[in-house]
Amino acid sequence: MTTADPALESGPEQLRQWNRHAGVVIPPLLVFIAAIALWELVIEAFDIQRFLLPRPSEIASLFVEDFGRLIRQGRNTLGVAGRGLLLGGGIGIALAAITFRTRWMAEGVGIYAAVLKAVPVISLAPLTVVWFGIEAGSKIATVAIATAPILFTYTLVGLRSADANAQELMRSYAAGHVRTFWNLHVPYALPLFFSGMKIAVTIAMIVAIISEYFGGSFENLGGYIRNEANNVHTVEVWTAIVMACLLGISQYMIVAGIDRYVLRWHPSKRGG
Amino acid sequence: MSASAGPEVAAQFSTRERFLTEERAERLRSASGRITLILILVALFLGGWEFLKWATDAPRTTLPHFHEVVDYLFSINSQGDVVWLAIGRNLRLTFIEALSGLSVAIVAGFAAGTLMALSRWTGRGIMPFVIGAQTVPIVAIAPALVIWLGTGWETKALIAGFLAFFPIAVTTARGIGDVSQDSLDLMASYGASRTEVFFKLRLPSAMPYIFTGLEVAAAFSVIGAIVAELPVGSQDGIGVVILTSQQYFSLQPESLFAAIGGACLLGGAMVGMVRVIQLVVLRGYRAQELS
Amino acid sequence: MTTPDTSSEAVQIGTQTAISFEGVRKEFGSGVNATLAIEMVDLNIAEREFVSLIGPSGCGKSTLLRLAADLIEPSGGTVVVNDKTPRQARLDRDYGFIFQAPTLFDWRTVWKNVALPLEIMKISGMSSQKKEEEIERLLSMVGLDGFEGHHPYQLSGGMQQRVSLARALVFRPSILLMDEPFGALDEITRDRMNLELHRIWEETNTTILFVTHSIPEAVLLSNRVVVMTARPGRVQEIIPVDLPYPRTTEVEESTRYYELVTQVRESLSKAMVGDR
Repeated sequence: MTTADPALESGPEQLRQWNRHAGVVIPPLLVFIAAIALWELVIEAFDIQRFLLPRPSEIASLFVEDFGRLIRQGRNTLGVAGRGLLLGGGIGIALAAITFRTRWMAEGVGIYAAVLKAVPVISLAPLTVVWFGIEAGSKIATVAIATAPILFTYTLVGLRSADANAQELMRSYAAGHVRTFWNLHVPYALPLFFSGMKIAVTIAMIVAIISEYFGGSFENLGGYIRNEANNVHTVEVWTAIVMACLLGISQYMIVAGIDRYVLRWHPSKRGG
Repeated sequence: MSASAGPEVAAQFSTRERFLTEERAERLRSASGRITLILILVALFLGGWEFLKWATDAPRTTLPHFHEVVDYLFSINSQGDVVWLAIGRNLRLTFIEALSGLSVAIVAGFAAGTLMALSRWTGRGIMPFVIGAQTVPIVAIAPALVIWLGTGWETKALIAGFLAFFPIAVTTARGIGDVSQDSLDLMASYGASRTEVFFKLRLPSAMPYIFTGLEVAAAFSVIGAIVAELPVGSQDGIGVVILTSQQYFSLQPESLFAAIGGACLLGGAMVGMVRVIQLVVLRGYRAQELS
Repeated sequence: MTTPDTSSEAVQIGTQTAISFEGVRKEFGSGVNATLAIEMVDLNIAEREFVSLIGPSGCGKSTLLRLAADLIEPSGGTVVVNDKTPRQARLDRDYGFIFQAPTLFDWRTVWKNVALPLEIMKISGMSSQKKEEEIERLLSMVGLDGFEGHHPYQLSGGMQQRVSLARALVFRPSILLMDEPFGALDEITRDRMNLELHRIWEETNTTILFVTHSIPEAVLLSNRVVVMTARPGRVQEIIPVDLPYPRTTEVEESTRYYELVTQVRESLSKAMVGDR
């Protein structure tokens, strides 16, 4: 209507599609470039020392140089985060599936979940070390403790959100509990399950790094950060931060992508 | 069909009365039910603890008796302090750090979220970074910040605030932006100004969203404060107590349990505080399912 | 356009034009994806009239209503409301809009929902005591006294829509634009709301433009029924309703009423066939 370029209005479908994608990509790109420029400028202007805040260009070049090691360490951290999420998510989802029909049970587990969400998980890290050893076991346990309540709450609310009419419809088909669960409650729970997953993958990554920071091998991002930070090797620390961010964002995007694909029938995903 | 309103109104009155008394009874029932439930859950927790100890035959260094931890709380430590008072002092400091951080995060997060929601280009430009920055491992930045800004409580508050900022910004952006077209049209039909649309529609409808973010932020602020206390150089705070207890674990395992218990209480208190405020502020709102 | 004869003594239709559409066209989207919602619509609604818009779904009835409300702008032609542009009419608070969904604010009580337009409009020459009296009067008119302190989600759908009716009336707009306001209600509640609406219309000096799916509803309420064609929507026929006032249940049982319902129905099926 008010589009200035008439070519865009009448252009082929692909062009408009591209135009829409550009609207999503270009602003963040501009912000990114501006932020990097500002960062360099601030260091230049205030003469900030290297060990406090290194230049982005410096971080970038060391990142490229150390890429092989960083990706190896990142993979170890990712493995801990993934296994912890699998364990915690599994427990959370299972508890939600077991309790969602019984109000008092769901509420009881829900209170534990609420308490667990308020608990500063990192404070539990030393204790999990005592119980599950200083290596991967304790880290997986900490990630599981952090992610289980999130997935429990989201899955529970999702399972409960099944439309009352649809439930009666399933009843009218004389569908059993199992069939109703898979054909009705699970599809209804999916949108919220994915919202929970998006939160949980991010949390899993952070918690994995924090618990690695508490001790154990150096062959992971948290351990590397601990070691380099103690030696005030700030540039090295930052390369690990960049790697952690990249992994976190790609995990988030993978989950978001699966969400979009699986829920392409859902109203909230159409035309976005 | 009759257009007379008499009996209809009377019927409505009686349903209303019934509705009110039912609501009151329901609230009472649920309040007492909740307390009973919580008592049962506490008992289950303690029972589980002692059962685990008995079943695995765990030594004191893996899992002390609950009463041993309580005894320890009332003993005198090497500095001649009553343990629970000492822990309390450290908790107070961490609480101040977390609370100041949270306060800053509320102001900054709300402002950023509002900006992202109201300006499309700002939102599109910044939102990916706000989501991305959440994955920044705060432990990695904390040491540099501590070197930079010193080991004072302000540094720790800043780190706590950094962590608490994101959930508030994200939920504010979502809440402020997620308003039905009908509601916007309604406001437009009254010739409402942008300010009026914001204060009478967007802000109140965003409140439940913001509070879910606030709850997460409250928990995060405690985590941030504890993480900020971990780097070398810090003297006080519950994070320091946890670290020292970890070092002397084999000698005095109860102290780690006490310290962790304290940290958990602090987290619970922060989140509980937000919940109480939420109960007051969101009094008239429909009950929230996700929290 | 002259105003039709309504053969009524109780209700006096004015001679001034309240809303006029002239050659109005509305297109949504642009380029290949553009859809023409309405086209060549000419329609005049006189002051004090009750006009219903009826037509197959997607015929642009709501579009017409939104054009008058300045919630959207026409792609061509002119819309005039109370001798002004729709924008000016909106800023002058000349009309109240009632949506299909009640669109109440959850966080406000019934009372405060009704008070919302007054808060925004800051109507001069109305003391706060007078405002309170007005809200009270309207709530009791729509049968909601005693529910002032309730929140919308504590009410049934019909009660919620009555709150939205009271909210639209509270600033005494000269025009009511109603977009299938009772479409989601059960038939009994709907009938009752219709009679209430009709009573309100008779008691006040309001012009009403009413979008509906229901032929009996359109005939019972209006003094003219506008039948629209399928997309792109045009005016197929304007049918004057010469039923006596007040429109009571007796009117609903009269032969003339049935004739009119049949006439609208036939016109409507022609409108749908004409499109194929």
